[in-house]
Amino acid sequence: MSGMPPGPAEATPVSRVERPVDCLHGLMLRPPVVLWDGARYRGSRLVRAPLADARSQPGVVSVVQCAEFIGVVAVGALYAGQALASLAPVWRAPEGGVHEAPAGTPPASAGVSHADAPSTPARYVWRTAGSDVPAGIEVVVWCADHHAGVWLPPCPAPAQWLVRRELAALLRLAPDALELHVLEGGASGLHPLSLMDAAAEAALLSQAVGRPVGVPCRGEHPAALALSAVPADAFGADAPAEDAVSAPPPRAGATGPRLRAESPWGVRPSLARLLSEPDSAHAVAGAGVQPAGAVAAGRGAVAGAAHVGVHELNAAQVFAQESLWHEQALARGEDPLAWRVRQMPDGPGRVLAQQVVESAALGAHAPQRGPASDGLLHGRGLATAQVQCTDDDGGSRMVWSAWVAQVRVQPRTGEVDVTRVVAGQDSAHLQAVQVASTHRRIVQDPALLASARELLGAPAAFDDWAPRAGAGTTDGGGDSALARHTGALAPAAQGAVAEGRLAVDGVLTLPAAAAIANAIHDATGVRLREAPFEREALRLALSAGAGAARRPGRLRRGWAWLASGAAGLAGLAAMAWPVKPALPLTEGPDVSLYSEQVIERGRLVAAAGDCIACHTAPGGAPNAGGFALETPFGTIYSTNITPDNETGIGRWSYAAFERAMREGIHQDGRQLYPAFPYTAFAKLSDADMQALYGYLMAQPPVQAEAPETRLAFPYSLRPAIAGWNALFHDPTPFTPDPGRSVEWNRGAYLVQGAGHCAACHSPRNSLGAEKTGIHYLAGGAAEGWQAPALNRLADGPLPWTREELYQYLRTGYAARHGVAAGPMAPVIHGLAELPDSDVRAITTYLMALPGETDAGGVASAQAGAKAAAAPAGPAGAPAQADTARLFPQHANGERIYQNACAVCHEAGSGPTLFGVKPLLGLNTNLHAATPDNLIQVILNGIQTPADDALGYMPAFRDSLDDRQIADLVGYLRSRFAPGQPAWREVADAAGRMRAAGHTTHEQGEAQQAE
Amino acid sequence: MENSLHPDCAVLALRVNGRAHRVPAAPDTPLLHVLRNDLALNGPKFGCGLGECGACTVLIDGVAARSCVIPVRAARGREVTTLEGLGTRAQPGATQQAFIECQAAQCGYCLNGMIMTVEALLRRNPRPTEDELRSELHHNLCRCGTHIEILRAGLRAAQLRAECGAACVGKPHGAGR
Repeated sequence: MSGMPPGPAEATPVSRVERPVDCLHGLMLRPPVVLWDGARYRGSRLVRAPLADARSQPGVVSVVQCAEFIGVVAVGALYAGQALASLAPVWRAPEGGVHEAPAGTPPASAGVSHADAPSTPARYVWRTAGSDVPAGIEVVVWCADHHAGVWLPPCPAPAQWLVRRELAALLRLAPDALELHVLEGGASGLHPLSLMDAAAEAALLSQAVGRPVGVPCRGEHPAALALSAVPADAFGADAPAEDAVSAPPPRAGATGPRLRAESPWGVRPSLARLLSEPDSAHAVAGAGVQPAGAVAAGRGAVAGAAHVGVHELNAAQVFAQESLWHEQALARGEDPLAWRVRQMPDGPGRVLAQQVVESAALGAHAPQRGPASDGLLHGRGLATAQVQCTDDDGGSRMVWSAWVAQVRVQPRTGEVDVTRVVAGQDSAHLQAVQVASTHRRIVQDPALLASARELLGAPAAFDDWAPRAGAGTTDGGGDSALARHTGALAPAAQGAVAEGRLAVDGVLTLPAAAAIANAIHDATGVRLREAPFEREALRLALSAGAGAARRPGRLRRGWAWLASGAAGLAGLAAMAWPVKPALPLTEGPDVSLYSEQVIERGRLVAAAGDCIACHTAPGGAPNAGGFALETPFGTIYSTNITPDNETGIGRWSYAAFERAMREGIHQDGRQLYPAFPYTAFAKLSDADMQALYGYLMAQPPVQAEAPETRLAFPYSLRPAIAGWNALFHDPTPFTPDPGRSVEWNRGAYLVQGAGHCAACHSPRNSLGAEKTGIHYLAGGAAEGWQAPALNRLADGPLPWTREELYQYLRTGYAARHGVAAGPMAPVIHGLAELPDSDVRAITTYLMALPGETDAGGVASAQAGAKAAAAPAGPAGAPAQADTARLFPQHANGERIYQNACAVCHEAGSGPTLFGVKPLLGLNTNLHAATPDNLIQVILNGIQTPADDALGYMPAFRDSLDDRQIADLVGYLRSRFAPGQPAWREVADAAGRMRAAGHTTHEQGEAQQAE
Repeated sequence: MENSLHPDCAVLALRVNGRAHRVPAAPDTPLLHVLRNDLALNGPKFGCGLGECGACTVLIDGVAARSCVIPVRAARGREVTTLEGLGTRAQPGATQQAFIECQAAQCGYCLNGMIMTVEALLRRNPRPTEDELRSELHHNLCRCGTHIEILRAGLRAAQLRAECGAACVGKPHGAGR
């Protein structure tokens, strides 16, 4: 598919577009492995899925199957999710094994080659960022017989073009039989493939039920596009004829280098189309780069779920092609700039390249080999691009662009700076080339320079806070994460970069990556073949090239180990000092000095740390303190952390704030009790700590004196905590593990640091210190609730999958595990502020925690699952009727269950009610060692669910007495966790919690009230 | 107690039966209280107060909800439908009409819940079997024993709904096509 055919006229957005009322909600079952070879679906195949089970779930309207596609339509998104989770499908692994896209190749080896190294066929890799999607963005489709309506969130015309094409292919309709409505609002920053997937799912489901169906957009993981150079003679013999579909044969006389992709060279079809038509799924859109250096589509199965759009294909192709030109010129001993210009066909492209090279030469010093007087290496590189695109008027154009970049490399550190960019662009309407005024401009815009530098962006660090896509940010704020990786896009052009059709301005930045790579090679002799570039890769290559067989990595690690050991010792010595000085009070910081970005970052740190949960009294002002925290040592009241001068932290210097956060020492020198999790906050990076300080100081001050904490002797001796700190507190900030992925490190940072998960989820020793090692996150207690173990999620009594854990953290509910209640509900609230990628990172880290296995529990849970599905009552279970006769408590418990609980909790019968229907047989709390959480929920209900949509549970503390609760709990345990031993002395426990929980219950009720 | 926790009632924006309302209320107030006391919508009844009997049922975004155990704040941003929203005295909705025809009331206290629950069922499953209807109404309590008539009314409601057919169901392109 060469270039983009001009699309039909786009739907004119109607001024007031509203979604259809009475919209149903749909979700599709996603296979574990999605592969596409350019013509067929090659991923996991469905062996079986119990559709009848899903149909009997509450709220389900229909379950739709079409080849490998299975989707659920329900009256609410939650019901659809719950029904989908009940499917428990069995998949068959793809034939011939999975050929994952080479995303995990270490950059140091694969992405770099030194000039001296013999050149095996060059392989270029273009990495795309994953895409985040804010919750609640939906595409609605309503299919009728010969037409369909589509309601899209705000998105640019090229994305609409792609959706129209895809739905036309899926529904076998003419493109203009689709009526597209684009809802009003700011750009959502969605990846076009997120829209396309959601639209296609909604279309198939709507077609099946004949009613409007909404499907939420989903993000995707990062991907890598790999292209290898193919020798000119091998190309023709190697390429089967079918490849012409996605890569036309080069034009006669074209002499360009050619490339072979490891994956099909087109935009993959939507998942719904891949799955519903597994035997013939062709791309509707492909790269728009002209076949001067055509790409042969690969047939290696590719992990096709990745969001690789037209722009990514173009960017990868230009990067590979133009890097290869440069390499070929050098191999022939030619000057790369002159050679590249000479090889271009006559025409506007060549004229443009010539002009850009000449402009760049003006005022530039002559290129030189070796370090300049400043010890830095300088170099220049050229790259060009030629793309066929469709502009906003629907006209087809050819657009050329050319870049010359100058770079400066610090050879010791591998640090690269782009010092100058000269870029040019030329475009002509194809329909009337002879009369069209070609439009040429050559720019040296600082914005281009800045965006080129983005390509050199350091790899994501463990304390990077991705901006939340589309979360109320202004123009294209949500694009930045994507833009950082997909290309050096001039900020003005971001919105205009197109998928399917390239808006003209988007082409301007296509040559950036190759121009910089060529310039870096010119400066250093090192060829970077992976974009975006990593400084570390360049540094390693440079130091390896320096000749001496040093091993910088090992040496550095050795020293780092020594250094951290020393720091630990120093910290110990400092902490053991019993009396801490007061730090001087200041006038407080000038918060206007903090940028909006820093304060936003601080807000996210605060959300991840959920400061507000503990620092807000019931009904009180946020963060004004006074929340009573029950501990085994007595009640501790949280302090006012608003910037009030008298009662808050308004006059705290940053040094005082940081000391409190890292060492648990009040500004006045008092030791803080470790109920304040400074043991975790010590792990925060400096940048996060400063941002948090800025954020807190920028909040409105609230004058509120928190009650004084009075613990019984000996815990009242605050200086004693200094000794506690010496024993149990490690104040060193988080250091990432280089052997682990960025995602894992990010998750570890969030869990150990701001998230302070261990504060509740790790057991504590008799001195109240969190246990570490194998006991880390092995389960603890908080506010009268049991905090389950997190270190054996994958093999506990009810094993969690990654997706389930992600859903739980994102929504507060996992159908097969239960809802977030008690102190966990506010945590989910806090996490809701964080982007998807952070929640995924937490999931990755938690699922990888080492822990002991519990084989016995699994069997118990499986029995529980069966029990949950089996109908209750004498008719369904004669054995239970016997039990009931034998044990009056059991009969009493069953009666209470039928009257009070069954309406919302009984599987397979009863009405569909607002909120989820949590199945008790799959509830973690029923399989736990103690009944504490179950009793808490019965007594207090769930008044502050993690999300209103989950529904509410009334408190039964005033309706059921301790004996009734004991009977009910006994019945629930024996019915839903039949493999587990009965709990003992439940009535006593209920009485205790009823008394103790009264205060915390009221607090909990008021907590979320605004 | 609610009020002592929230001395300053928030002004909550609600959509009930297609109309926008602004109601000053403590966000934790049960939705039922706001509907009856502030909006004078007395279709939903107070029965058990624990979500067990169903007399208080309303629809939230088209799904049956027991309004006595749902705080009013949960209804923000959602569409609430009460019995009054299904039809008028002069022009009862299909489900209401069916209950009238089948004389499905003795004291009538439970009827709001019965009608709303049937309405919710028919919106997702326009042709329920009697078993499905029974299952849906299983936890709506009626002390008078009019269950037979209520089941008959539920089936009749499905019938009436099917008869009104095209008038109830829109088209993707609107009335024009």
